[in-house]
Amino acid sequence: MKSVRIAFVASLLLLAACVTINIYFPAAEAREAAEKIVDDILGDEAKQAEPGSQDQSMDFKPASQGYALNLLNLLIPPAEAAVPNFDADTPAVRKLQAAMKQRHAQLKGFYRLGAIGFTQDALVGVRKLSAVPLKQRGQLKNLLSAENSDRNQLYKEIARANGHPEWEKDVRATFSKTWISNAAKGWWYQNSQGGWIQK
Amino acid sequence: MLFSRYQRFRLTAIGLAGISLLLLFRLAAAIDQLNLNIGTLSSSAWRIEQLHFTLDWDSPTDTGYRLEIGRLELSALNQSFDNVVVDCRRGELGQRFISCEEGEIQLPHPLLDRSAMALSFKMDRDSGVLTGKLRRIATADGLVNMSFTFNAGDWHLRIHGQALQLETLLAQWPQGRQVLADWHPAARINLDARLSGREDRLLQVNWSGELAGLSFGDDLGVYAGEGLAARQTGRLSGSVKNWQIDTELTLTHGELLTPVFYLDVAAHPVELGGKLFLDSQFKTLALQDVHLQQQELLDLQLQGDLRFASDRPLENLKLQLQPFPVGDVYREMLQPVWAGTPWGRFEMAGEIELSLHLSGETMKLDLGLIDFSLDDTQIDGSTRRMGLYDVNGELKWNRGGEVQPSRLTWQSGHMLEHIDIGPGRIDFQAADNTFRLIRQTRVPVLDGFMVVDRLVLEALGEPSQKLQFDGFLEPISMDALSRALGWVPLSGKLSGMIPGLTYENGLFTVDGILLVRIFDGDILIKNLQTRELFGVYPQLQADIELHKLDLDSLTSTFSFGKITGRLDGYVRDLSLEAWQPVTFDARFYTPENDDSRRRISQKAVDNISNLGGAGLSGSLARSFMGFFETFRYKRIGIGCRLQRGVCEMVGAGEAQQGYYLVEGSGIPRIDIIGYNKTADWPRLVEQLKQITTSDGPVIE
Repeated sequence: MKSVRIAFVASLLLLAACVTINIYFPAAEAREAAEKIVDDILGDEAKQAEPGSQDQSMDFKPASQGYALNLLNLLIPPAEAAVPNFDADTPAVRKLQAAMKQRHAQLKGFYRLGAIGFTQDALVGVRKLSAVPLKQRGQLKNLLSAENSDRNQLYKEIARANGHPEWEKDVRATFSKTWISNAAKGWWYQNSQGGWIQK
Repeated sequence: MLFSRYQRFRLTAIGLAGISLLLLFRLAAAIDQLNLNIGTLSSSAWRIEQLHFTLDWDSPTDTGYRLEIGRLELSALNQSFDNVVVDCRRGELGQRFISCEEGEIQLPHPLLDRSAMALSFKMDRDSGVLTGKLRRIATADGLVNMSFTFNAGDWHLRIHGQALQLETLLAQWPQGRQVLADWHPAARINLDARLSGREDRLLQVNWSGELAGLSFGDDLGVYAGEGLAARQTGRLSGSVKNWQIDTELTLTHGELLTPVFYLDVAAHPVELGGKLFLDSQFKTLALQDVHLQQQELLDLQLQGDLRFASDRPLENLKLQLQPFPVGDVYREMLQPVWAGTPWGRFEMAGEIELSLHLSGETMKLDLGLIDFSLDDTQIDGSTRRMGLYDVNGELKWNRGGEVQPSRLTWQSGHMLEHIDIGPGRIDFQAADNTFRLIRQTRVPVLDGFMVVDRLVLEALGEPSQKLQFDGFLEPISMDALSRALGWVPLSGKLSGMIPGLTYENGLFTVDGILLVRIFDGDILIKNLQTRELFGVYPQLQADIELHKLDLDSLTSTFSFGKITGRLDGYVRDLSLEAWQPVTFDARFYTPENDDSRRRISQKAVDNISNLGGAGLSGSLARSFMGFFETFRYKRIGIGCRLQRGVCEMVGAGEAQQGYYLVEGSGIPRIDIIGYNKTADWPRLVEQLKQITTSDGPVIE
């Protein structure tokens, strides 16, 4: 009788679980994706990526491994295993990433000067324009405008690629933390009050 | 606009001083004759309240007197002053002269840093001539001296200002404060101005001024100046109908940044001058003989008519730019503004002369190119896109007028770093926002030609801009092309009809078929589309077909290990991003009914085995198969369907547990069987690279 009751409660719980479906922003996966992109863009001056990450490349495997793989397939249905939790690798993202990486080579000097820094909304802002010679201010303006446009597009595209345009805010927040944590020593960033802090 | 504000301010200051002196004179005369009492005096232009006059009369030629005014209102100037004191320590109140040789006036006013200033004047009562001086007027953190003469309605005024601070001057009135807030200007001004007029009309102004340490900048950093120094002389003369201004401005030091250009004034001082005619209603401005010379860079002449408050303010304009060193102008003036955009990465040389004529609705631009060269520079490892050298000719563009032919010739050039372009010429028309080729042109490309039958660019500079191109390639040797692209030297020819190439919204679409005659067979490239071909992230889509390539020459070119026979194949839905394959469906296989001699060498066997995993027969055979140099085969084949970095592999046909990469025939028979259904694409490419660049393992 007791076991019947437990089964009943369990069924109710299951039913309840079926009715309320919340899709939460996959923060950890997003962080990992942001880390990868930011690392690539900032290059050597960024925080070194964790070494020894798993080699994702597929190998030519001997036929005998097939059984083991099939067994694994039973445990993990192929469709679920194939779909990543967080997709930040679309053509549009790769394009933006390549453009930002190339631009970073020109922005780097301005970060070092303290003229610009990472803002709270995951963009690049002017901190001290007077640190830049007049002759270079046009270049800085053009670079910032292009960079911020690309960054805005990047956050939007990542949210879109994951089927949740409303995640843009979360994606931006994730990137904001990642830019700041990967900034080189001496660069500037904005704290939550909008004040500039040197790393 | 700035000029008129400046002028208004000066008129105010002059008027104030002049009218107060005039009052003083009339008042003094009145007291002498009218027995003036303390009370109120007024006219339509002024009003005086609480007047006290004290007289110390020692002798007619040495009199001390003091005039105190509780409130002075000058309605014409919309100004009022409280507690004005004129204190003359030594003067004369005589029958003929009223004068003050040594006096002081106190005029409290926000414009003045100190209310006291030195005063002297002399009035001839017979002739009515009044002359005088106001000295040590402390204003705008500097000093101003003024002298004046009034003679029967004619007046002359000289103002000499020293070390006046622009920001203090601007802070005196609301518009000035707005300028301060928007532009943060600062400068030191020295000024010498002579004004003359009749009654209430200003007739002539001559001035010379120096501006030192001028800096300004808007909050967005779009406009900025630092450390600018300027000298200006000018003459303004007026008639009933208009004002004429002759002016010369010299900029000698500092830097200037605008959205259009940057100027290092110290390196290239600027001289700007000309005649301006402004109608008395301030509705039109005519520019005459305006010239701008920038040392070693630009020499420009300009004339035209401007209509203020009109839908088309520029009524008529002629601009002539003498041949200028385009490389220096680009590098010094334009590149700093364009850096960080695709327009900011060129190298230029040669000269350009330019003339622009605008008249009503029509506009005509003539550009003359003299040994002009253009090349994009290498920035951060990105490849150069194009270059064109020793360009000469004329570009005639117009809007709304008669279309004229243009012509350009060049001696050499390049595309994508090493694809050389030979001497050529284009004849075209440029009108409105359309560019159109008017004669077929043959452009030497490597050892062949690109023949252009049609080239039309429409809606230039608009979002809907479009390029249409028809032409064909006269064969270019693959040897030259492969070397230019840094590939393994290839033999064969590249040719093709390009009946329709369009460029719209960043997308190049080729309607025709590019034919590559190579390895004794054909490669056809169809449905070619590229996006951002010269951008940071080029993308390309195409379908490719291979017909009867000779494997012997193919394998020997890539040191893959000799295979003889023929090869068909296709690469469908090829998609490249940044020149890296993202997706494709490719298969390469022995053609049906192939009657060629089909042999495969040991080295090739081994390389294929490494690629696809050696089959049982292959590995077992090695020990004694080593005695044979080549093996016969029935068919070979390999295919890959690439998605998400993973290849779905297929072979020439199904085999037990796998697929044939090589299906042998005869004795000794060798089969290579692939077992892996999927392969990691980057790794596969790496293996292919290793195979084609090394001699590979040897079967023993």
